[in-house]
Amino acid sequence: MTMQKLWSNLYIFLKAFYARFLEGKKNPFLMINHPVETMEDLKYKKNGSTIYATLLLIAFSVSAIIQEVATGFIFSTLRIKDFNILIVLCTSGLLVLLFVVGNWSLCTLLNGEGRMVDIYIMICYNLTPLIGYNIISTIFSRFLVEDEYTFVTIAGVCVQIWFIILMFYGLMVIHNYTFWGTFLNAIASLVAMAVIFFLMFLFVVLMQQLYVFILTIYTECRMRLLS
Amino acid sequence: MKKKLIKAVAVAMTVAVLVSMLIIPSSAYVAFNTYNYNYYGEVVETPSGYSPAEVYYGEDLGVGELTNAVDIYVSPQNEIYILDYYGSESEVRLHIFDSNFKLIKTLTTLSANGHDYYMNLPEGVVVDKDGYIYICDTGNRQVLKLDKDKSGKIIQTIGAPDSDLFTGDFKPTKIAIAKNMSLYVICSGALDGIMEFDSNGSFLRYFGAPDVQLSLSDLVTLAWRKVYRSLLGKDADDTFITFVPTEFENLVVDEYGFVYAVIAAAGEENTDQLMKMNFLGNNILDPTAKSTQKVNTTLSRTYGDLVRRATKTQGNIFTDLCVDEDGFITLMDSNLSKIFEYDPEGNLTFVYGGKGKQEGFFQSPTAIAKLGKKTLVLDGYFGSVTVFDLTDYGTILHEAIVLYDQGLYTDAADYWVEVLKSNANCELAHIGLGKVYYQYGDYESALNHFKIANDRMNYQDAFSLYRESVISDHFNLIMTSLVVLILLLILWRIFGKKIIAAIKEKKQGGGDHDDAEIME
Repeated sequence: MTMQKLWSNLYIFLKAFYARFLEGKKNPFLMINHPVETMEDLKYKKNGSTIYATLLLIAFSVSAIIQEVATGFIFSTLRIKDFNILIVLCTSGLLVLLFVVGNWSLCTLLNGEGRMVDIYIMICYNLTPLIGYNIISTIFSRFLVEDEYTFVTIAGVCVQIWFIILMFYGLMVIHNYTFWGTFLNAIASLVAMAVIFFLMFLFVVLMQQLYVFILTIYTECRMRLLS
Repeated sequence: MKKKLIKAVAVAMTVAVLVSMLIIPSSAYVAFNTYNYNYYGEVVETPSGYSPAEVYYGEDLGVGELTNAVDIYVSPQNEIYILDYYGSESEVRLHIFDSNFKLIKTLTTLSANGHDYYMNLPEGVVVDKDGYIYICDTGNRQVLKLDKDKSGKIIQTIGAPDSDLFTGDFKPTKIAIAKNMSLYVICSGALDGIMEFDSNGSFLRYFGAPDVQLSLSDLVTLAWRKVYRSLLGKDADDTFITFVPTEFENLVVDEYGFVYAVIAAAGEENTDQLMKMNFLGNNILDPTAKSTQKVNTTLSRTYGDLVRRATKTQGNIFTDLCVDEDGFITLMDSNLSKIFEYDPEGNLTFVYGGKGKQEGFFQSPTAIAKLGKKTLVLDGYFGSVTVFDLTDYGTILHEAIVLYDQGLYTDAADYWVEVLKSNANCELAHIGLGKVYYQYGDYESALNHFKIANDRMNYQDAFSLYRESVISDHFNLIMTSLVVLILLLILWRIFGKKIIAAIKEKKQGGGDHDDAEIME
């Protein structure tokens, strides 16, 4: 009886999940088939789901980690003791977040119409092909040799070009820019990312010095007062 | 009873210990660390390949103190020639020993046409297969050929060549002689490569100069020079640096006529520091071969220590090299006093020696030579000759590499197994064993060995065959499941909708009951 109960509950959950995320207009997989329509709906009909975008972002980070760790011996020189999860995250998930912040802070100044949430959802929805490529290439790398893997690499280039086109169109729609406007905006966003990175770096270094300073004062006081 | 037993056990144990001390040979203690680099460029200690057997000082050799010894050479007749400058007047002496370091003769004054001849700071000495001695008399700007009776009679001198190709000062520093009697001379300041003379002593050609590699900034400089010249005339560019090939430091010729030359310090990223040159002067050491591919991103190979020191003065400076009968190349680093041995393909086998005063260390090594399998290192500071013997491990490794290079993988296998017993980290051994397994179709073991050795090229070859064998072994299973899957798909296509409809109907029929149960 309990087994049957469990199955029924699972069925209901899956059905609810399906109805919530996949059946409705918020289904991010619509982006694969109907990118133009979905992108416009994101902006004008507010069809995006932040939850789903976040899930996709997490999936992207996880897929990048999987690719780093599980790629076959022929295509990877990584030893597991050299693996640093922070570096992988910085080049996948955190990079996306940095782009969102950089792009948003630039576009608010340059007559962009998009809200931060819109940019975030748009980019995360666009990540789907990259996630797929990361996982599929990892699987293929485990039973192909270098000559055959060339096709996977070519597919990867196609996916990346497709991703860039989608991003470009998405930014154009969300900010209501012209073609060249978007182009300049995208380049400026990259510069903004660099600036943000620099400031963060500076902040960390300064904080370290501040920490050392406070620590020194504390040590000095303790030595003089308590001993 | 008990006491007796204890006594017996004690006696037995003592005897066992004594016997074991007799049986197990105590391996010679070697003070320095012998090491190698792995695929990732990390230092991996290996069992010592060479151990210092003997250190001869000048007094032991019966020639007084060896001061400022500059060169050592082992002739084809297995005689040892040592060149040194003696005393405060720097009197040049050439000592000749037999292979057991027994003094045969010391030459100080040479004779030319009945007159006495004094050498002036000579730097190199070689002997050809007939016994004629060639000396690079650097201070007197000529190469001397001495008679084979070791009397010190000069029978020929080779001075600055009378050729349009040759410009500047003729300062021969190092010399090598091939089997066909052609002389190869390195001149200090001659940047066009190695000078080749024929057996009569006439200049033939330059060859082997390494290509000049220009970086991006160099190209910019060149472009700017062009602009500058066009604006201010051709003579206005005196202040610009010139781009010339790097000078060779030392050279040696093996029995097949290949010329090995070494460049002192790795200045340019893309210059090969060690070259094994064919007749055309092309480097035939494969730059893409195994070993430290990950570290080495440029196309040239890295020789010497991979862990680069912060300043160039603390890096390797190679001043001498020698090649043994099996083709193993030994480089001598005069700065860190280390000796690097490479196999005929250019893979590092051992790094030994070091700076110090113990046996097996040197203060300022100046020259190196091979006496059979032994390495002779001349220390200019102590005036000593250190003789290194190949250890058991080194002998096995050399034997394995020689067989492997001949393509006799199966014959080499036993030696590789022995090598791995002493040194499980030996990448060459894993590659060698992997190739044997590959040859005999045991792809799984081959893959394992290639993986340990980080040899991705061979791994791929083995892997594609391994994949094939797996597929053919399980062909029945794979094909059957594929057919079943396709059949199921076809069936689902035909009957799927009906089944779903049927389930839905049933659900609606008994739905109340299910819902009620969930509500509970």
